[in-house]
Amino acid sequence: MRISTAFRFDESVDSLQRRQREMSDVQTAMTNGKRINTPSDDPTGAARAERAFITQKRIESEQRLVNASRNALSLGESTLGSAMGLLQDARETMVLSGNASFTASERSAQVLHLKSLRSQLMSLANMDDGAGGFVFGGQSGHAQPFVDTPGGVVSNASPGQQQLSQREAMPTTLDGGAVWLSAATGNGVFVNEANAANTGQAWITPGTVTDPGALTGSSYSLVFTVLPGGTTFSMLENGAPTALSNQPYLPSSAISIDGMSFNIAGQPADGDRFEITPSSNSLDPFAALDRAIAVLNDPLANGGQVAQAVNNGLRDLDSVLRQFQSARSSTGANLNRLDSVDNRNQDRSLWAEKVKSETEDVDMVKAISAFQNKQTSYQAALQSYAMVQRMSLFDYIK
Amino acid sequence: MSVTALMGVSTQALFAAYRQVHTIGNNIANANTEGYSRQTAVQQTSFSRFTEAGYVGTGVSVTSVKRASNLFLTDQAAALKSTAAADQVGRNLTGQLEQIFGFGEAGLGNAATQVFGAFADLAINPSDLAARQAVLGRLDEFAALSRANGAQVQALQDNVRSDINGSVAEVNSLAKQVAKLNGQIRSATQQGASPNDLLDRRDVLVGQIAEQMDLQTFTYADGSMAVFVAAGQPLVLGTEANTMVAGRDPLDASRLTVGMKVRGDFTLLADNNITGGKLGGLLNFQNDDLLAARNRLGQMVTSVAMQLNEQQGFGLDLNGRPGAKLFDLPAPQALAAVGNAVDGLGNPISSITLSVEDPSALQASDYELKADPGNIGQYILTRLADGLVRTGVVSGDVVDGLKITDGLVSPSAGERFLLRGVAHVAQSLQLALRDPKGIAAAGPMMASANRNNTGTLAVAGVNVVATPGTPYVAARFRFTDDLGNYDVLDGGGISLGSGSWVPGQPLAWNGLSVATTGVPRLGDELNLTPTGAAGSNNANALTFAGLGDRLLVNGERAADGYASLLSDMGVRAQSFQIAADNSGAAATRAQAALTGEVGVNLDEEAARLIQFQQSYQAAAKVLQTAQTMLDTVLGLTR
Repeated sequence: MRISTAFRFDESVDSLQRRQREMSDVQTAMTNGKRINTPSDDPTGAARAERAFITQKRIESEQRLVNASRNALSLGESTLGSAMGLLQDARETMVLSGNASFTASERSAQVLHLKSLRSQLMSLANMDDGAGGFVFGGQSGHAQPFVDTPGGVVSNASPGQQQLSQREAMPTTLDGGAVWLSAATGNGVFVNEANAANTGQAWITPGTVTDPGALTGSSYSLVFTVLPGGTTFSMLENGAPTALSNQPYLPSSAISIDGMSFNIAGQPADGDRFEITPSSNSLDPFAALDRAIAVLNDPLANGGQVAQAVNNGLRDLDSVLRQFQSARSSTGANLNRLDSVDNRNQDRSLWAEKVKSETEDVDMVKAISAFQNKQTSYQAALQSYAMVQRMSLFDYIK
Repeated sequence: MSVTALMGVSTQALFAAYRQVHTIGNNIANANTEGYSRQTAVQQTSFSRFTEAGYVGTGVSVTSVKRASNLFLTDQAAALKSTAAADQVGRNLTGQLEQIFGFGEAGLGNAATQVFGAFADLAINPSDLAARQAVLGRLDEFAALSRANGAQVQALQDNVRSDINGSVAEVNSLAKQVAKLNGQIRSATQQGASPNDLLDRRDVLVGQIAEQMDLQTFTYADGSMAVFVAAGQPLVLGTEANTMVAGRDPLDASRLTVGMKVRGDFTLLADNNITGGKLGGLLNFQNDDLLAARNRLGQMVTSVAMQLNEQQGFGLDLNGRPGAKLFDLPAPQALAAVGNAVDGLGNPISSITLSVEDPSALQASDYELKADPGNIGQYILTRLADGLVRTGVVSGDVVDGLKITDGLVSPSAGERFLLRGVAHVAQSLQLALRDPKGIAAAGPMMASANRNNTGTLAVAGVNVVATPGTPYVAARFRFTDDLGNYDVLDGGGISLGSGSWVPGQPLAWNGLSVATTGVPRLGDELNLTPTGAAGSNNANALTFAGLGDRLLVNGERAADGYASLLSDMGVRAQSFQIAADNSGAAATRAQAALTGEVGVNLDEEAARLIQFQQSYQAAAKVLQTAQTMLDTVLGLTR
């Protein structure tokens, strides 16, 4: 076949340029370390790398939320710890003020201490998180979550917790109402209270459940009748008489009804009543302290009333302590979980980085060998060009 | 036999050899001239003379100078050059197109992800003005990047327009020259000789037209050549050249199409009939790749921006009011086609109104809406990206998220409209909200499980997923059995509705979606309360952040939608690279075959030069001999 001389020149120049371009492509990849410099270098790879990149960005964002939640929960956890310390202190003070030999003025010194503990508890409950929010702020609320009102402490915070994710529990607040205002009253099942109008010296213990199956959930009243012949009591269930009617009263002996058992100590007066009502989740430490303080502060309170107040106070503080303990452990569990979210995020981020790198990064060994390959063929092309193009018949015609 | 006859023979031989060397010289001179075809002098024995000794040769003469040509190879080379030119244009333009869409940090997918991330940061402290400002900044970046990408695509469209105009002008100028050459060739041919140089020049011109658009040629006996383009339209007939015209597409004013004026009548050339050459490549790029890029970009931007706007409207801003829209974006367009009935001022009489009903269902395509001539009030709707045809569409229908409504005057039979949902959006996206307090980070309602519940049901989050049917009021879900059936009661205990809890599914009421964990028991309650302090609630910011995982763009997450766009653009560029490499190689091979046949090989010419040099020397020797012989004879008389 004939070959057009002009075309042969053009073609050789073309092929030299092509080899040079190929060499420069490999060189570019080697210099910036990227196999994919435009999507067309590997369209699916570019999309995969892009997705991996976005995954990383999203994990970074989620990680900021994890950290924010962790900071908030750590603060909540330590606040609860301090509150429990204060309650322990209050408990000891309460025990101390129950000392029967104390005079009214000695008791009032303890009362002062209790009052101070109460106000410290209040400031813990209204603890701010340093960023304009409140540790126990619930779902929202700008004002302090807890305020004193004539009817007791009420919560301004909305119930629930503010979350940072809808897929994963990442709270930034604790549910103030649930932690502070929702301890179980009484012993957790029923509440024993002395009637405020009682005049006798008797007081009632918190009681225990002896047979959970026999519980009725009714309200009971224990009414004493003191006659010269002896002291008897009658138990009313929702106002109706029960089998316990006109029973002789033996101080400190157990009284049992419908699976509940409790003791009455001290001498009741005629007509004294004790109320046994079902427990509810409405106890708060402020009300418990307020009730105890009111009695302990009353110089006219008799021994029975003081004993009852101390007994009830201890019972209530224990219930609140249990409530705090459970909130604290659930916060701890949350913190634990956040740690595992953190670990998982790091694993996912690493994985995304690996996918991205495997997809778009140059394999240097391959690239270097490819470059050498291209270099060799470019050299060969140059040499053969020089040799072939020099040859012409005209050189030999003399 | 006279000696002078011998001298005549040798003179002729001298002339012939000279003519040969001259032709070779011309070949060598034109070895590097584009389009030059190798010429050969055709020599023939002169007629012998009858003598008493029979026929005696009278020498040689060069009868013609022939031009090497191969019609088949010429046509093939032109056709392959046409394809190669189209692919080359495609490679260059798709290469530019894919460069517009950055990836990683520079991409729109990242910009969207940053928006969601900024909302997540805002959720940590929803009243923080700095975090709010950061959200606005991210939103503005998204809008700015969208505008920049849109503007770059638009700039590419503008370049394509001017290239199409240039290409058409070049074809017209070349066609005129071909027509003129046809005349010259025809008269030269009539004189009996082959006008080699003119033929060469015409082949070059036709090759240049082929580089602009694919064509067929037909050569007539008189030497003139007809050139047909776009499936049989005559560009050149004899000495007449028709004019190509570039003008707006009858349906889509933003695109150019080409037509031809034949004796004053204008014919529109179907774009898909022009597949080769630069013009074919430009039209194809404009109608396919560029449109796909505009639509895909528009689809992603519109879907994301509209759903951010919608979510913003569902939440409460720092002042406790429903959020004002975040972005301003142009409405979808229904554009009347050229040919629809117009009033005295030239405005179309009938009209169609288009609105977006469901931004997540938008498709990356324009649509052609045609009033069905057979069924009054019905439309035939063609999705232009994939050619999907829907018939029986009526006013009020929602197709691919777009609601189509008749205007004041409904279109009459045969009238056409271009429905453009998204393609024009990206370059006009603007951030509408400038006040950081205006970001609706708070949700309108809060939910919490009742403290005395016996079941384990807890609230994971409250989302607004639709515009509320009735104003929000405090309400509660009250479970009426252990199976999850519930009543919705208002504050006064009056029933507002009822429903059933399904494990893993959110509770839904009045546009609210309450995600829960755990299991409800009989008598359990879940309270819904209006958000009092909008500054400290982050529910809507959380939903905003969660949009990053929602399937916003036609079944894909926003960033995935962008990744698909990237890979689509990459595939387009890559396939043009491969096509251009292949067709370029094929064109080179065809050119090699053609030039092999008609081109000049200098070695060959050198060999032939020696051959005819010797031939010349030999003829001269004969002449010298004849001279000597004559001298000998003349010497006898002395």
